[in-house]
Amino acid sequence: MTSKPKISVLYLDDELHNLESFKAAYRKDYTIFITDSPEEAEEILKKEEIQIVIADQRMPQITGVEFFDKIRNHHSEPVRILITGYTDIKAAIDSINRGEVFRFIDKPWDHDYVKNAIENAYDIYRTRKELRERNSQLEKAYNELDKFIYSASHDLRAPLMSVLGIARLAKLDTNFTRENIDNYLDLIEQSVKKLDTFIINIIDYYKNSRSGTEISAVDFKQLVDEIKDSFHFIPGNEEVRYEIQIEQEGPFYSDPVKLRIILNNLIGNALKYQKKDNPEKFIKITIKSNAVASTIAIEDNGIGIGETDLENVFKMFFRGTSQNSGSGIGLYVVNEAVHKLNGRINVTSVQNGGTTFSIEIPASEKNG
Amino acid sequence: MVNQFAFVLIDDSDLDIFINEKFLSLSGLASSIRSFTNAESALAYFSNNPKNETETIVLLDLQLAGMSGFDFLDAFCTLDESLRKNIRIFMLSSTADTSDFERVIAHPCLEALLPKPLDIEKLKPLLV
Repeated sequence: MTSKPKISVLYLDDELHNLESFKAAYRKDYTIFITDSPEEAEEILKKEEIQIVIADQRMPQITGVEFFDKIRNHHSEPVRILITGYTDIKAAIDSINRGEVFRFIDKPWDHDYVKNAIENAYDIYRTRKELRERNSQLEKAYNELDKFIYSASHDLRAPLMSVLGIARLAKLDTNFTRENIDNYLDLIEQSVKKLDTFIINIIDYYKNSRSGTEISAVDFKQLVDEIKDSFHFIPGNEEVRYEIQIEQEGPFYSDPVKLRIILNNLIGNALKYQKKDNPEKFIKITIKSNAVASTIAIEDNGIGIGETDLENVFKMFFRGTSQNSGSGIGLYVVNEAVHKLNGRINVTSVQNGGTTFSIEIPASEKNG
Repeated sequence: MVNQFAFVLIDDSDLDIFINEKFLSLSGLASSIRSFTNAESALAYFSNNPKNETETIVLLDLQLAGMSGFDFLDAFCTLDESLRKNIRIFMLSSTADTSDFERVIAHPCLEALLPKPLDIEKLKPLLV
């Protein structure tokens, strides 16, 4: 359990001794702001993150209900509590019914009663805040889903339509030599591989966005070796020289599934976006890891990323190049995975010079 | 004798360019075929190609890396009329998004949207 954050309470009252005694009574439990000026109260609301506003109903310049009305538009989040004597009971009931005030406290106030009102008000504050956060998360998820469905259906169809085109073309062709038939089959193979890569990317994306986090000690050397081996058999990759430097001091606890997705995509990209005619292709993988955090850098001397594209590379379905065109999912998934591990990712690149991705990831707690 | 056209293909998939080039050369519709793998270089080509006398048919892919098919259309539309003379643009895409169709219908510089793969028999009547 993390320690409970201190609740911030703003109290507005024209009677100074009320303010002082309130502060004296609750300053141990809450962060208290007091003022006898409605203008100053508004200033405090602007500057501080206030969760609960308490106001006296009877004040010379403005009533408590009027004050709440005034701050409602700009400061709708703090929960409002009205302090009032019995003579104002009708105003208090009205304001509660209209939803302007969460609760009222009658004078003279009782210590535990006020404390209870503040705690309850804070529960409401927190629940509303959580609800807002959930709503905005949901909205983001819906938007992503919409975009995902359309873009994914296009990217799934594109290679299929290519295969269909090839089939139709082959039917029209009257050259039945082995060589010509092989040409068509090669094209189909290319297209099917592209489709398969896309589907694997989607599975990564899904694993990454849905899975709970499984925490265990990460062996970076083994992880990098496995990924390196998996790319070894792809034609063209044998020309790329690896420079691997891994310093691992003590166990690093994290989610190996997400780390694998991250490294797999970044190493895969470094291999894929090499300059075709460069005789000195290389990938440099530098990892420094200890019990607290890991830093990972993956550098290549490939085609690089243009300055205008650099800010977009982590967006879903963004593709910067037509060379060896990818699906536009890989780096999006990498970015999401890094953030889920509470890490940071940075990219620097020189067009036609190469790209470096740097990642910092703090260790996760063992029991996730 | 069939009418012939100069064709320009814009598509970031080498494979689809290859397929479409073959379809067109088999169809006898093409007097020439010029292909671009990105919209930027195609736009540069049209911007520097005055006095175009041959009727030209552009087959434009929608989802392009970098400048998209729509971006290309918007930019093409702003070119001087003399540069756009005799050029007709058709979009070729495997999109399944209906909002793409709506945008296409509304675009003043586009004739039609054709589904991939290219079907010569469907293209022919549109060219007349």
